[in-house]
Formats: sequence, structure tokens, C-alpha cells
Amino acid sequence: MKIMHCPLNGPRNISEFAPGGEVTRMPEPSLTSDEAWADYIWMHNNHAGVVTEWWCHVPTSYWFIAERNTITDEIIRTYPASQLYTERMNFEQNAENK
Amino acid sequence: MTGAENYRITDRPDGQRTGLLVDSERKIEFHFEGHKYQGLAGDTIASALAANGVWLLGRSFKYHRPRGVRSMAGLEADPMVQLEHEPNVQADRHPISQGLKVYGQHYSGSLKHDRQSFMGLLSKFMPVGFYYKAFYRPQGIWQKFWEPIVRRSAGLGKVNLETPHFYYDKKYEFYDLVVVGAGPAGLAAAIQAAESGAQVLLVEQDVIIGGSLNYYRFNADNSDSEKLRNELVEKIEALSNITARTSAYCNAWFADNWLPVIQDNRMYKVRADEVILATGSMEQPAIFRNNDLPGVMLGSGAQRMVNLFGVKPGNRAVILTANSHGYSSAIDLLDAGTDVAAIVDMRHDIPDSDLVIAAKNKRIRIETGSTIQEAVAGNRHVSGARIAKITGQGTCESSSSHIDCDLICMSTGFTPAYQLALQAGGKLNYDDENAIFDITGLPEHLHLAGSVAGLYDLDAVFKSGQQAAWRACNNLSLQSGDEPQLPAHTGQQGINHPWPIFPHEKSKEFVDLDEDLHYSDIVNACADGYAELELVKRYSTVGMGPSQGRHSALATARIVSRETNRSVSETGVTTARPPLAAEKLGVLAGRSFEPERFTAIHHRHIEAGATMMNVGLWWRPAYYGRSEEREQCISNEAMAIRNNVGLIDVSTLGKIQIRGQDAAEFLNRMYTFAYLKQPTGRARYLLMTNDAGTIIDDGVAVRITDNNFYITATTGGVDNVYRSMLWWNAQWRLDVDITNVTAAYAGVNIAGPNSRTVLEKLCQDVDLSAEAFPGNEARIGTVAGIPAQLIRVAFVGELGYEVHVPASQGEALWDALIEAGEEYDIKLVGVEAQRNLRLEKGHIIVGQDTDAMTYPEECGMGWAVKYNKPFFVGKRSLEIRNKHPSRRRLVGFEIKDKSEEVPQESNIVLHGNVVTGHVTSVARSPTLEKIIGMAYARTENEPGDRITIKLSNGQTVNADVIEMPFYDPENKRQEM
Amino acid sequence: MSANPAKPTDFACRPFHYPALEADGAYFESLGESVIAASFDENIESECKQAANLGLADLSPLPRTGFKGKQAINWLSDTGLSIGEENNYSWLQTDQTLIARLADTEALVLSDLNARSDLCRRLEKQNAEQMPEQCYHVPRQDSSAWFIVTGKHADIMFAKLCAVDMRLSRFKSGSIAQTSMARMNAIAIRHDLGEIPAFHILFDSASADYLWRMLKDAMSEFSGKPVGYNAICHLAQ
Repeated sequence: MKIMHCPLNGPRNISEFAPGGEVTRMPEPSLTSDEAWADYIWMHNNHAGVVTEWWCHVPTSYWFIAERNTITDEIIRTYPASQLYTERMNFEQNAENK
Repeated sequence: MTGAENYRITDRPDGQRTGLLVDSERKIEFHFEGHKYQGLAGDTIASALAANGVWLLGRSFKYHRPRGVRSMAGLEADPMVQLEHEPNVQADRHPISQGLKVYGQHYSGSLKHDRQSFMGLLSKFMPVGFYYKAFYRPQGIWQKFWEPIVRRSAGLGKVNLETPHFYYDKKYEFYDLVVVGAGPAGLAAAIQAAESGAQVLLVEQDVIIGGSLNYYRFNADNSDSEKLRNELVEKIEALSNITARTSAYCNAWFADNWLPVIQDNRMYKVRADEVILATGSMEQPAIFRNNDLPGVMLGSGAQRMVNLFGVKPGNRAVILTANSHGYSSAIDLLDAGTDVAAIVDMRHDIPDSDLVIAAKNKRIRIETGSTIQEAVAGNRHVSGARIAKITGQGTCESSSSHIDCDLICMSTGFTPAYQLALQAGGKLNYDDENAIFDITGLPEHLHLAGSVAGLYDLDAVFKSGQQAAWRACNNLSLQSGDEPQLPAHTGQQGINHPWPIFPHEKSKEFVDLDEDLHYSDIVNACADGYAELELVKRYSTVGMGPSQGRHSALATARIVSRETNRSVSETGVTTARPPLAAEKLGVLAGRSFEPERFTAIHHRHIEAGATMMNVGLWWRPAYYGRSEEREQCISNEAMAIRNNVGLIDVSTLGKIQIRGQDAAEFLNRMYTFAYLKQPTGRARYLLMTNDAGTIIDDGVAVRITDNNFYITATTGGVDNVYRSMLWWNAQWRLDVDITNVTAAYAGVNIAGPNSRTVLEKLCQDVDLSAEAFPGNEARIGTVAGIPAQLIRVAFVGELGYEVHVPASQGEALWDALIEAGEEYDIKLVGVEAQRNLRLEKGHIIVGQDTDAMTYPEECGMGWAVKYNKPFFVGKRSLEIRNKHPSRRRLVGFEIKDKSEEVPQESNIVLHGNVVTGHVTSVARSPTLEKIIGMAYARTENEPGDRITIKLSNGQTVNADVIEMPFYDPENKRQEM
Repeated sequence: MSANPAKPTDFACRPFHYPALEADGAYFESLGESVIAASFDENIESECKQAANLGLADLSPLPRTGFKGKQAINWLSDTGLSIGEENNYSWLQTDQTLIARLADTEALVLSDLNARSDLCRRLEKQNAEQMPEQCYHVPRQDSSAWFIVTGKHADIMFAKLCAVDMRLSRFKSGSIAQTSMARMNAIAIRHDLGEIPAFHILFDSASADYLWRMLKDAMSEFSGKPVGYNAICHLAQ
């Protein structure tokens, strides 16, 4: 049973966590073609090597980010999401441009 | 051979102990196969039976050959016996107790006279993999003829369905160091580490610590190892930071040194900073004709029998050996009173050692460069050995000499107990020179010590334990002194014979005794084309029995490597996976923690006679009555709401508080509808899609103030909704607080034309009139003195109020509403009736009327999607999906004919022969007196069309598509 | 704390799993606007002894509250409360209230065991009136049930339910573990009653009955039993 270091709670059994998928950047919807959007929704990289992923500590509902090597299953580091997401994300009113 | 002959050793010439584990003063009576026997306290079933001259313990899997003990260490299937409440018990491990009733397994008639023992004669017709080539022609023959036969003869023991449920539990533990195996290496390691300050768990399968120090004669006079043993045991007992756990086995290695250690009915889940595997090695059988007969044992098995239990394994022995271990067992057997007729040494030149010299001094006949070609069968037991000179790899002279004996001991080599190390990622390599496996590539914080690390000399074993402990303590930053070094002499050289495998023209030279596979089976598997070892295993079943390759992996690797022209290293062994040994499902289940959630009103439902149902972890009342009255109850409860007034406990509804400057903006992004301009005091529908546009939840949002929303979600969906909200906002970083308050508030829906009247009796501070408090609005006030949020919602389609109060006052609210409603004959209404009422209004239930593909436009919810918002989760995907619209649509249907059978949810909707959809909700409506439902049909299906539904019994029924809502289409009732 | 016997159903506010408490032989007394299981044994001396060995008490009727948001910790500190920098740690206030810092953005306030302080109520009132930015009330009184497990066997008992190392030598007084217990989410706060080890457990109030049963089951191996509020107060002095 792997140990995951939660930035809030410290080292815990991985059974306390739920994985949340790869960290990806959502493309600007109005500037993305249908095909590219479908790609973003459905296709995952499944990278062999170091990936950056979302993890949730279930008892506290605390979301954070982990870097993990999918080949060696080594968890390299974990850190709060605020280190990656630093600013408020805005969506402009440009629906008319569709 | 059998009968009352006493094989118990009564005294030994050197005055040594006669059986370390048994107490000759305490006699115990037990039963085997219906006969009474006497043993001693400390005996296992096998040792007690052996003392009584009972050697036949089981019948083999395929051929029903007579079988007995071999390792005396619980490593093989043959000594498995049946107890009243447990099948497949290892007789060579399980202790006897007063009155214990034991039976053999896997026979017809009796163990002695197994009617199926003729199967051995059919072996020619059962070559390897024969069941892949037989049993299925002519067509149908399997089900009709063979399957019942195979089922009856498959398996070993029988499960007693009356067995009570014993108490099993689990416990978490933490140690600096776990040492697996308490033989000399493990003991040395544990002591070294504890003396350096580590908290140590020492895990040992046997009932006592000591390992080979308990039963193996390391040198001729045996005094050294006994002294060492006593010293080590004393030290272990003196060190308070060592927990020695016996009769416990470490059943796997999991990531980051997570170990399941099972003792009796408890599984310890142990986290170890450091682990030392001192698991030892398994002596391997030699392969010759009839090597499976009772009386053919491993040398170590015979020594366990003699030294642990004080039992003579036979009267006259022939020992097959290729190392000094055969000489060790020879001396032990002589001391036990067994005549050693010959030592058959496979080596031409025998290096002198004190054990060899001692054997020579005792004038034991020694045959060099020879092997046992065949064990001769007597009465279900070995009666002699045929000896021949070895001529090459696996070949010997055809002329052989016969030696009478009732015991054959084999000591031709070892395989390290590699399983845990390989589970941890270690790799097995074969040292061609020494003809032995070794292990490399272990992860950090995992160490090997002793013979599992390839060391067989006692001094080397001991030092390796100390060295491993030193390294572990180094990792723990606990240290004392310099790192212990290994001596030059490891004892590995010459301990393994490279090829103790002698095929015979008459076959029955068993490679895997659990599976009844002999030499030609392995050869033929390769010849059939299964050269890859994993395929050889699956095709032949070698290594798939209870011994899991412990006594067959080495021989199989050797044979397959030769047949496929590869090195043994290249051939390898099959993947080692948890569990190491059989584990009971009870141990895995432990206390079976199954969390439950009760609403505040739970006990009132029970008192009212409700039939309860599970919704996720919650318990909810399905209807108030016994299951025989189900239909009637549901109908009455629904009618009570339609015509009068009823109470529904809706406490399980998900509830989330959304607060902050960006509260409305947050809802706008999470849901499809529009919330920025929602007036305070209003309730608005919430529809949630995921980023693929699929509907995943719905609810209602009540705006309490500009920056404070109280929203609901489905009972089953709220936890995901909450977690999803947190995930999105971790990226959006809006100024909003999201708090899951589901359990904080109890909720009661009071509904029906008289609901206002009843509520008015209890609520004085809110004007409940239709003008002051119209539908789809919310108010804050008190009900029966309890602070409450009142929300008018239309889910069941009648005038009604959802009253939300703090959970600790939920039951009081319920009691007050019932009291106030008594004069109106208020009814308690369960979940089933509620579902039918909402069906009559055509309201969808997410997850029932929607599936993993449903998007809003497919089920008439397009009105709840505002595409002119800058963004909401799913918006872009829905734009795409609406360009390629679905071919199905959720429609309402009715079946007017009352005699028709009611379809079930998931029944298929057909258009001709084409499946166009399925029924999602359906019920007999008491209000409308017909069958109504919702189903996915073709988008072209309009009200008035006919659709065909295929019932569960295969018949079809016609239904008419009609407009929804079915009841009160103008929604007048809920607006009252 | 009143010495009058009381029936839960005489009050609007009832302990979450009072039928289970009744079945275990609880004797209730009124407390504030509710009742609390005051004792299970007529003899307070033996109940205190039980608690010192291994005892389980329901403290759900005692006041508690919570605040979360970016400014929550600051706001609480500004009211004069003493809250340190470390997450998953707790601090006892001068009025014996216990403040548990669950995260940079959340704190839990547990009333003093004698229920003399009205801090929780005052904080809620102040928060409702001031409406400070980014500082939101959490309805802990009803969302979370509150048990206390006491005694020298408490840490070993938890090892049967919880994968976090709660051994007394490793999990110091004041420490908090937010984790899974008997497969449900729970907050464990160690805060000893004098010399006697004690752990406060906060968890989903809908599972009060379930967790009570699981704790009793795990405790039976060590002769642990339910104890009343009166014994807890006695030991807290």
C-alpha cells in the first residue's frame, strides 16, 4: 500500500486518496475547433514517465497536485494546487462570436 | 505398517530431547477417519498419526494415489485434511486437540479404499492438457455428461455451510523493522537491530522461534547449534523492543513495506520502515518413479519429525543425497532408532566433513555416483528402493539393485523462499555453476538474510542476519559499530545437485505432486508448443496447486530450459503474486466495516413499520408496511398526498452552502441554467452536466441573499458534486466558499392539498398564503419553535413545502407535524410512493431516467440550458453534440389496458426489430388508473404514436406515447 | 450541568443516536437546550475507573462551531483567541475551549467540557452580525457528532479502526488526524484529561449510531465500555 504525502495531512496510505486525472490546461472553448475540443475531452496522454496529476484526500476533500513516475510508480513530489493555479480564471462574454 | 505400532521415540542414546514441541506427560485423544488415536500435547495431526503408524493422509488430485507427508512444514497439498468446520487443513501444521475429528479428503468410500484409485490406470488417456482436447464432442456432451462428473471430483475438501461465523478482525501496526522468519538469520538480525534501538517485529510461521536450529543437525555432535539456539531465544525474550509473533505468517509484500501478517483470526496490517526477509529455503524433492509414495520424504521433513515431535519416520531408511544434509539426517535417524540401510550419494567424490566422517564411523553403507531409479510400492507405502549408477544427466544404468526400506529421504538441493522478494520486484537468476537460484534487484529498505540470500553455512547465515540488520539500522539512523562482514565460506557450493531428475519408461516420476504431473507432462507441454514458462504453467497446471510451485518450480525450470534449449536463468520461474499462503475470506473481511447513515427520523420509520431500503449508505423508508402489502401501501401513500396530506422524510437530499462574492458566478459555471439574476427568496432548478455535456446531477438553488445560496443535490450524487465543485474552483479561484451541509439539516416534505393547513398550525412567523408565499419560493422562519428553511418545490406535483431544520431537531419536527396533522389523518409516505408521484408529473430522476450518455436536449431539458452564458461546464461539448443530435428521445407513454403486465425499468423499446431505447421509469398509477412510464424512443416518436416494449418474459406489449406531465398538465395543483 | 433526570423526547434538540444510548442503559440529564447521556453506571467512581481504562462517551449535545474561508483564522484570532501556525494542531483557550486548526482556511471550536463558556454562541452571533468577508460559519453542531474516547488502552483500540499511527508515544496531545476510521471520514483530536489519554472524534452526524457500534466492538477486547458525561467532567477537573 503506497504512501502518499498529502500537503495538508502528511504521509498517509494511498487508500485515503482518490485520483483526479492528469493536470491539463483547458483550451479556450470559443477558439477551439470541434475536433480539437473532442480531443481535449476524450483523449488522455497516458504518458510513460513523470506525469502531473490531481489527487484528492477524501476525508478532508482536499485537492492537490502530485508528480508521479508512471513507470517506477514513484511519487516524486506533492504540492498545493495554488502553486499551479495562481490567478482567478475568467471567461469572457464572447458567445456572440460563435 | 499401519495399526497400533508405536513410532514414538522413547529415548535417545545421547539423552537429548525427544521432541522439542511435544509434552510426553500430556496425552490427547483425537479421531481420524472414524478411528480413535492418541497423541501428545504439541503434536500436529500428521505427527500424532505418524506416531501411531498412520502414514496415509490423502489421495492425489487426478490419480487418487495414496499420499502422506513430505516436508512436515505445511508446504504441499497431500497432507490436507478435513475438519468439521474447515476444509484443506494442513495436517503437518494443525495441532491436535482433545476430541478433534479429522477426515481425509478427495476420495470415494474411504481413504484406505478409495474407489477412484483406478484413475491412475487411466493416466495414458489423460496426458497434459487433455481436458482442452476432450469433453466437448459431440456437442452438448459437456453439460449433460462430463460437467457433473468433473464438478463432483474437483476440489479437495468440503465446505460446511453450517459453520458459524467466527470473530475475525484486523489491526494496524508500525515498526522500525520487520524480520520475516525466526531461524538463525532472522534471530541474529532481530537481536542486532533491537540492540541498536530499533522497534522490531519478528514474524515466524512455526509455533516456536528457532527455525532450522530447532530440527537440523549442523554438525555431528549437535551441541553447538543447540547452545546457539538457547542463547538466541534467551536474548530475544530479554529484549523488550522485539515483539516475537509465532504461528504468524507474512502473507505478501506490498508497496512501501506494507505487510499483512496473519495470526489465527487476525490480520495485522504492518507498516515497516525496514524489512528483512529471512525466509529460508525449501528443500527440493528428487524426481524418480513413485517418488510420491507415503514414506518418501524430504530429509528436512524426516528431521522435523524426529526432532520436533519425537517420532520415527520409519523403521528402515534409504537416503538419497548430494550434499551433507543426507548425512545429517542419517545420524538423526540412527539416533531415533531407525535403521539406515544405505546413503545413496549422487556425487562421485564426497568431500569429507564431520557429518560424513560420523556416518562412515557408524558403518552406514554408502553408494557413490548413484541414484534411486524407482521407489517400490508396497501396501500404499514405500517398501523398497531400486538403486542404479548414474550415467549422464538424467540417465542411469538399467540394471539396479533393490534395498528394502519403508522410508526414503531426499536431500538433493534447495530453492530460496523467494516469493516475498519477487513480489517486491526482486529478480530470480540461476547460478549455473552452483545450480541454484539467487535473488537480486530488491527495492530500498528491503534486505535478505540467511539461506534465502544463498548462504548455507551456519556462521555465514548468522553474520548475514547481523549485516542485514546493520544496514537496516543505518537507514534508520540507528547504529552501533562497524558493518558485520560475511565469512568467505558461504556453504552454497555443492549444496544443489544440478539434475536430480530421472525419467522412467513406466512414468509416475512426479514433478508436481499437487497436480499429479509427471516428467513427460512437462516435456509434452513444451512439445505441444507451450515453450514460454507462463504458458507451460497454465497449460499443464504445474505450480497452480496449493504448493504454488514451492517443490516444482526448480525442476520445471530445469526441464523446460532443456526442452527449449535455453538457460535456466532465461526460463526463470512464474510471477510470484500475493497471497503467499491460503488465507481465509473471514480474515480478509475482518469486522466488515460497512458504514451506515441514518436520518434524524430513522427510528420513527422503524416504529411505524416501514420496510427500509438502502440508498448509498443511507437507510430510507421504501413504504410503510410489510413486503406482502407493498403494492397496496405504495398506492395508499401516493393517494394520501394527492387527496389529503402526507409526510416524506427527504433528509438524505444533498445540501451545499455556496457563499461569497462569486457565489452566483460559481453556480453559473457549475450548472447549465442562469443564476446571476435569480431574486433572493426564490428557488430555481439546477441542472449539472459534466464537461462532455452528459447530465450528472440536478437539484434546486435557493438564493438566501445576493452572496448566499443554499442548494440541493441528489442523495447519491452530492458527494461527487461537492468534490467536483472543489476541483473546479481549485482552478478557477473564484471568491466562493463551498460547504457540504447534507448531514447538518433534516428535511421533511409535507405535501398534499391540506399541507398548508397543517403547517399553519405550527408556523406563525411566515405568511403561508398562496399570495405571500407562491410556488418556487423559499422563506426562513420557525416551525414548532424550530428554526427552519421552507421551500416550495413541485417535485410530487401537489401543494407542498420542504421544511429544512437542524438535524438534531429533525425528529422533534416530525413528531410535531404528525401531531398537528392527526386531525387531518396525515399519512407517512415512503420513497416508492414519492417516485410514482413524480413520475406522474414527468419529472426525471438523474441516473434512472438519464444514463451515461443523456444530454439535456435528449430528455426535454433544453429549456434549462443557457447557451448565452460565457461558460458553463459542458457548454462547448453540448454545442458539438447538438450538431449531431441523438436518435433517441425520452418520452412519456401509457398503457391503458389494466390487464396488461407492467413493464419493468430497462425493458427494451422496439421499432420493428430494431432496438430504439429502453424503459426508464414505469408504474401503475392509482390516480390515473393506467400504467404510465418514461422511455427512450426514436426522436420521431410524437404523442399519439405507438411504441413496442419487450417485457422481461419475452412477450411484447404496445404503449402509446403521450405528453407529459401525465397528471395536472397545467401544474395547477402545485401552485395552490 | 443539571442533576435532573431527563427524557430526550422532552426536548426538541436530541442526541443523534439517543435510542442506541438508551439501549446501552444511558441515564440522561438536561444540558442547555438538550439532554446528554450523563452516566451508564450508578457509581461515578467505577465509571471514572472505567474511563481511565477505556471509555466512550457521547458529547454531541455540547456546543461546537466552525469557521472557514481565507480570513477565518485571522477573524478568530482578532476576537482574541490563540491559534498557532501549524495545521492539524489544537490549542486550549483560557476558558478551556479547544480550537482545532484543520487547515489554513478552517478551524473547529469545541466548547469547554463543563459547557460553562458561551464562546461558540458568541462567535456565531458575531459572525452573523459582522458578516466578515471570506469567513463563513460551518454548522458543526448538527453536521458533526462528537464522541470522546478515554483511557490507557485508547490508542491500541484505535489501531483496530484507523490506519494513522495514534500511539500515545507518537501522536502527541494537541495533535489532529483527519482520516478514515472504520471506513468513514473522521477528525481525531488528542487532548488528554489530566493524566488520562483522551481523543475527541468528530464525524458525520448521520453515522453516530454506526460509529458508536464500531467503537464498542473494538473496545470489547480491552473491556472498554460507554461512560457518561459526568465521569468525563469529573476527570477533566
